[in-house]
Amino acid sequence: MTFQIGSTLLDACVLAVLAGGDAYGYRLTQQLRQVVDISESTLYPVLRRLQKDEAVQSYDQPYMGRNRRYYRLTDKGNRMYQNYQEEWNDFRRKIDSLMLADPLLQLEAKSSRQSETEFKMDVGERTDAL
Amino acid sequence: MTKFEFMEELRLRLAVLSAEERADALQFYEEYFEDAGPENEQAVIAELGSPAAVAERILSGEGKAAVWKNGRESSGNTASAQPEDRDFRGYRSYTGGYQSYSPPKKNSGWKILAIVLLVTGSPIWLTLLAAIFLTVLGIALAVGGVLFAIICSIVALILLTIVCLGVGLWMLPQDMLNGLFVLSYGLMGLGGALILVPLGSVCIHKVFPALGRGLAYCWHGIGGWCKKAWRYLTGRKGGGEG
Repeated sequence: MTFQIGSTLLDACVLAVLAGGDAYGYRLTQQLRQVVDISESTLYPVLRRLQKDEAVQSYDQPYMGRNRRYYRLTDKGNRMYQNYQEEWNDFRRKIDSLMLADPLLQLEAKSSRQSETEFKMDVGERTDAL
Repeated sequence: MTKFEFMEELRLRLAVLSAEERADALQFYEEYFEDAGPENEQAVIAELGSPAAVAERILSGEGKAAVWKNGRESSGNTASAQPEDRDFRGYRSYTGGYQSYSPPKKNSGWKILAIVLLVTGSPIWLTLLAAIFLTVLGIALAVGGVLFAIICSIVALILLTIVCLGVGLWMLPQDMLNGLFVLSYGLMGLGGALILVPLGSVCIHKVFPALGRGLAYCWHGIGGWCKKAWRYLTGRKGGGEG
């Protein structure tokens, strides 16, 4: 993948997966790796950080004669996740308006900057082009 | 590398962590191997990378958490690239003092010492330097003076020879014996001149320029020294002086 996932976005992704249900390390990694291209060694430090921030809790459950460590979202983690969702929506719309060259979104963004006449001209040109 | 070797090296490299933190990290990777299944052992090791790199990530993550505790927000990225093959013994100093870590300043102590020595010792080394330079200058001037005297004698000898030959030839018809006497002096002078003139020309063409060059060399040498010392004290380019 061309775009790098920063640590904040990675936090948000982990919280999002855990919001869908508790998960253990290997499963969590595999789920994330279906979507984002992260190294397997990246996840533990992220989980550890989220634990220290009290966004995530771990608990052990017996599985085939051994313990398996599961991670679950705390209330704080849930609030963080909702906050990230809103932020992501905002961020995504902005990038989309640039990147996907969606005419409606671009007009929306331009209308806040341009004067009335320029705006009208722009609409004229655009409808001609369309 | 087997899973066992991987875990063992990871355990060693995480020695700086507290027992609880280390056990937590090791359990995570132990479980990871088990959940991946023994058939995927090599694939997991290949994907995780070297134990050094894994440990580096865990340790830098812990270091960042410690910074957060002090209330400072860090936008750093745990996933950022870390040097993979750090010397194992270097870990303690690297992570132990993570918050106050600053690269060791080399040379600064020596630099200060050098400046102090230069300033306090200036009466001594300035006089010494001046004495050496003046001695060299004195020797050069003495050699030059001697050579100049020799050249002057040669010129005088040539003049004397011309005068003696002229006077001798002029006296010969009137007073034959005295004329011959003066003429013989002239011939002796001519012989001497024939020997000494090449020597004199060697002096003029070789020795004087050599002396000049020598003095210039000394001068530049001292200048170069001073420049090197200055660069050593101000910039980073270490050099001579000592």
